[in-house]
Amino acid sequence: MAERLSYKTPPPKIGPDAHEELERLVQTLHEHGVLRFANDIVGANTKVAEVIVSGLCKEGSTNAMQNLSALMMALSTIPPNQFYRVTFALKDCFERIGNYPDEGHGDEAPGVTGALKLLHDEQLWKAIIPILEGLKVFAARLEQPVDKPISDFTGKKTQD
Amino acid sequence: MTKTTDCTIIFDGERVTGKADTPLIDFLAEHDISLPHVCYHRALGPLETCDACWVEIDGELKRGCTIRSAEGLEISSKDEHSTAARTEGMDRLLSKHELYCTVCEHNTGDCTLHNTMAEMDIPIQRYEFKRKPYEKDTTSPFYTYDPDQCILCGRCVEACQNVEVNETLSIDYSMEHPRVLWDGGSPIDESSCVQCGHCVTVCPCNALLEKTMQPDAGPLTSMPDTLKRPMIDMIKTLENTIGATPITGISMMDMHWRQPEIKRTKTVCTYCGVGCSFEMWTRDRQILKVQPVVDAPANGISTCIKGKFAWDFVNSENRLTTPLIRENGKFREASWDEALDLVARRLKETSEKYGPNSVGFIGSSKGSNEEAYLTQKIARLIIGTNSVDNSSRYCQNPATKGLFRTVGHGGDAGSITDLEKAEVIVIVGSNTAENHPVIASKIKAAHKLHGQKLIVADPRMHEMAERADIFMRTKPSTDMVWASALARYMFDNDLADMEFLNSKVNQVEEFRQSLEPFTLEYAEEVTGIPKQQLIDAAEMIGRAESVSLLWAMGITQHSHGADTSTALSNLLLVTGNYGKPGTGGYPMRGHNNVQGASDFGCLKQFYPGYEKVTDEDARERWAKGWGVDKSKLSPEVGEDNFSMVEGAAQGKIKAMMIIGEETAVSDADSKNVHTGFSNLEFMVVQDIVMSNTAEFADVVLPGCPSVEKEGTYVNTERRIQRFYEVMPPLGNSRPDWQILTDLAARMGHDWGYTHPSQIMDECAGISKLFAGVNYERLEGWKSLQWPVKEDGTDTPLLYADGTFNTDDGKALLYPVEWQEPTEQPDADYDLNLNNGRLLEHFQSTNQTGQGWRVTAEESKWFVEVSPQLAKERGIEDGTWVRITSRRDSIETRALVTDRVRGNELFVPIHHVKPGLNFLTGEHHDPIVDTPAYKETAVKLEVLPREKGAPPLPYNNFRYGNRTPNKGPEAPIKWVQDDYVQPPEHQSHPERT
Repeated sequence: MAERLSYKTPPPKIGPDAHEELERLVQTLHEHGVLRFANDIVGANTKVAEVIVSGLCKEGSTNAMQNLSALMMALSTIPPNQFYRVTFALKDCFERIGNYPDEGHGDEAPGVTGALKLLHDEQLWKAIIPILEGLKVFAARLEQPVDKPISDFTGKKTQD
Repeated sequence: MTKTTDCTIIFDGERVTGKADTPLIDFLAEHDISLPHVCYHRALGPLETCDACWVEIDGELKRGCTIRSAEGLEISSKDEHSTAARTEGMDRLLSKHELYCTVCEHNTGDCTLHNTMAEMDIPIQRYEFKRKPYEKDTTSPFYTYDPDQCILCGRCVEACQNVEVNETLSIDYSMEHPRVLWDGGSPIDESSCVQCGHCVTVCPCNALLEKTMQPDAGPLTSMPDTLKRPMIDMIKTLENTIGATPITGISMMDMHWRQPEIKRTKTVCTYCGVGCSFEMWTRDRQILKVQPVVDAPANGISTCIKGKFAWDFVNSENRLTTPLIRENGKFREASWDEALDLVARRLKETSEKYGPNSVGFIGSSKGSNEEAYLTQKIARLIIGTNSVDNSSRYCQNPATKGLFRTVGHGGDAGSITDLEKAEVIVIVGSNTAENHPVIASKIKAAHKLHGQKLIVADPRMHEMAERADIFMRTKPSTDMVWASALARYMFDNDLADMEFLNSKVNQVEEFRQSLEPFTLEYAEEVTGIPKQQLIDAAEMIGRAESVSLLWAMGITQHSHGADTSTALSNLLLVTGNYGKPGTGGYPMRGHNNVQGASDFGCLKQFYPGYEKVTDEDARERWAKGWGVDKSKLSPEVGEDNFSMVEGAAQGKIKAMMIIGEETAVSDADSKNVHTGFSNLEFMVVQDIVMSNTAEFADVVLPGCPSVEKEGTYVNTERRIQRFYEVMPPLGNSRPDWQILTDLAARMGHDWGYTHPSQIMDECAGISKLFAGVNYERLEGWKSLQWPVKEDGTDTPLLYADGTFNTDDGKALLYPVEWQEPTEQPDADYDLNLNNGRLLEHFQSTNQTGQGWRVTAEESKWFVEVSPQLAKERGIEDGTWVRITSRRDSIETRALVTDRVRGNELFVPIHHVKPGLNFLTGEHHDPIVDTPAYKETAVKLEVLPREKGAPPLPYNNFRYGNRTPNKGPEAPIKWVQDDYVQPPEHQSHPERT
């Protein structure tokens, strides 16, 4: 006579645990050559580091890093809309200059009377004035000496 | 043109040849040409709501989804006009949908919106995304709806209204801020939503999303909102400058790098007999989602709550993962070697000591065909007994008997497509919408959209009864009478198909004479169906070109279910409704493989393929196939489930092996069953959880659910389908076919199967019915409906050649006599207790009861009481009552509903301790030994106990208020003030 027995199953393990996930990650990294590459880099770390540092210490590299930094600093202050307008105005300008000789007309000398007429061309002056204004600001900024860019950027002076 | 049905179109200047009259998008896709689209779905057809597929034909813009291929059609999609229109359409969609694809769970490769947007290479969306004034609806345990992600394409509405036909979802385009509505504006979980998942399956973006996908479907999706939101905002700001292209590039990379970790596996549902197949998406053991596909042969994109969502049991903490042996009054864990050696030794010892017929086997109606085959092979070949059965004994054997008697094959006459084609559908004793929901959907759609007529006969008013053109509310157990009366009416009123009868049916006159007592007046008196309603039903059936008749447990679980099934099949024969498209008898198989378990030999009188064990030729062929002498196979019909359990109680059966069956709960008269099990000298149970039956076992073997093994199932339409391993077996559990193979080897029969395909090959090599079945022919979404000839030709519609499966090829009208139910109410037991499944659960809830999600939808036990009886006895929702039968009593709470009438009660079968079957009795159909579960006379007492809460939760779908409509109805969108046709720009694209 088999009496009815209740039995509570112990909860089964569902899905991988952290160790198994790690094992899988290691296997995947291996299969895709990432571990080999990482091993190579780590094994040669001093030499690789020396090459990187020597490369970075060259005047050109430090110049590039500083210039990129300066570019990033400047970019961070420009509202995207303004930057977009200027960038694409420059693009249009370059396109105009690039295509200019191909158009094959309007490149005759204006002559004296033509030059006088140009001085009365309001559309022409409206186009030129912003460029002249920009040039003036550009020249003025160039006159200002910059010791450390970060000080100029934030306005916070540092001790010499 | 290569075929008359082919055509050549000119698309963007290129000649493209393919099948004529095909939707343009599909036509082009066949040639790897993509026409951008979002709302079009192969299963739904053109909805015309997304405006993203414009093309130009004869200088005129047309929505590409509405075009069908035709000879000479010239279409342009790359011209400026249609490109601008498509771009405008996509811009409008994106004004309603916030793009954050890389951190969106749905960016797994099947996000239509993302993929189309990427394909169109939208540089920047014209219209800013505008948030809607609604919260994300997370009330369903299974899926969420986010209005801010919803593009109002209407796919979900179409699926709900016209595919599932639950009629819950709608879109009101005239709202200030349109959104998808459940019951016109309820939270999901307080609506009529049946959680079938159709809407989620077809959603082209993440507006409707499975909760199992959230939040970690992608490697970057599970970050908290506090991190995700600022990231999204930052990218959106950047997008104003850099445009969408680089960001889309990242989301495309994200979509690709998700692929290696997502596994998509075709599987077949393990609940009812519809045989839904779908992809299961997993990441390791995590089931991300069930994704139905258009190509699934039985269901297409359709599922029910169980198939779509009820898979929490796979990783349940209640799973058995190691063999158990009863020892010193408790179970202890054991190795496979120890457990299987013990089982092998004890079964052989018992057989040797008491004879082969002292051992009984119950095969699984949930296991595979191959496992059923091995079960009967062990019983017949190793033990030498035909005492092997499956749970069809409890449900479908009476129906099969009715078909055997009249037309010859024990399976549905046709396919689900025939049910869709039928001019008239008759549903008898089947709560199809809850028990076979996907088949119900096909019928509901045919009824709603194509004018199919529906007749329902049932004592209980379920959904199909509510939808019926004629609902014949019968007195319980009387269906044989009205079926016979209708047959007589056909003869009497020149509606019998005499040409069919004269040429294809035997015993017509004898049968006609047997109908003498079945006048309409008599039928009205016995069944309670008004005479005029009987006439209306008869006229509808008799004058229809094609009639299909479905029946289920409401017919079979009676003391004369085989006769009633016979009467129903007789009615079909009288009206000539066999062998033509849209016709035939369709007993609805209740378990996923109850058909297959029978087909593959788990029946006391049949080898696989319904070859009689008493037939000398069959016995010789099977002996030869198995490489033994004929004398090794018993020529005696064995015991069935019912008689085995009775035999155990009487001491005749000494050992039993029960595989994947909850017999302790599902057999009638539970006390007697439990006594029988306790009497056994040895009992082994193979299951995936510690079932009630396993509690009586001496050895418990942990098997695997379908998703952890390979195999095949047969659904209700005789369709054999393959399922594949989705994930490896959990813990130390094993696929059941491996357990049986190993057990046989330990009993001296090393069959050496290493894959289930070898088992199928062996069976197909012996059984005529499956001669052409092999795994290659069942690969992917392919399937075969038996009989299958050696060349692989299968049989979607039986008897189409006019030949029936009888000795002379003619059908037989089989006279039956009306007999009263064995157990009926009397003065002491004055009520009749009906019982059945609910949509949400399955059987004893060993699967649906794992985890909380399905149970949250329906968890409490109850008895349905009619308003009349409730008034008479002072019963309200939640009143505690005691129900007492001639066997035992149960206590439960009352639910007052007009689904039942008068002195009828209804109890769901899903509660286990105590279970319904403590009330049911040993009385059964003597022809097939099926217990008469539905014939249980009871009395009801109101208990002096404080009334509880209503047993059905207030938010259950049965309290919802459906909102039937025609679907998303694009023309309503187009007449809104805001709408202008693309490529014109719109002022408020977020509204439409």
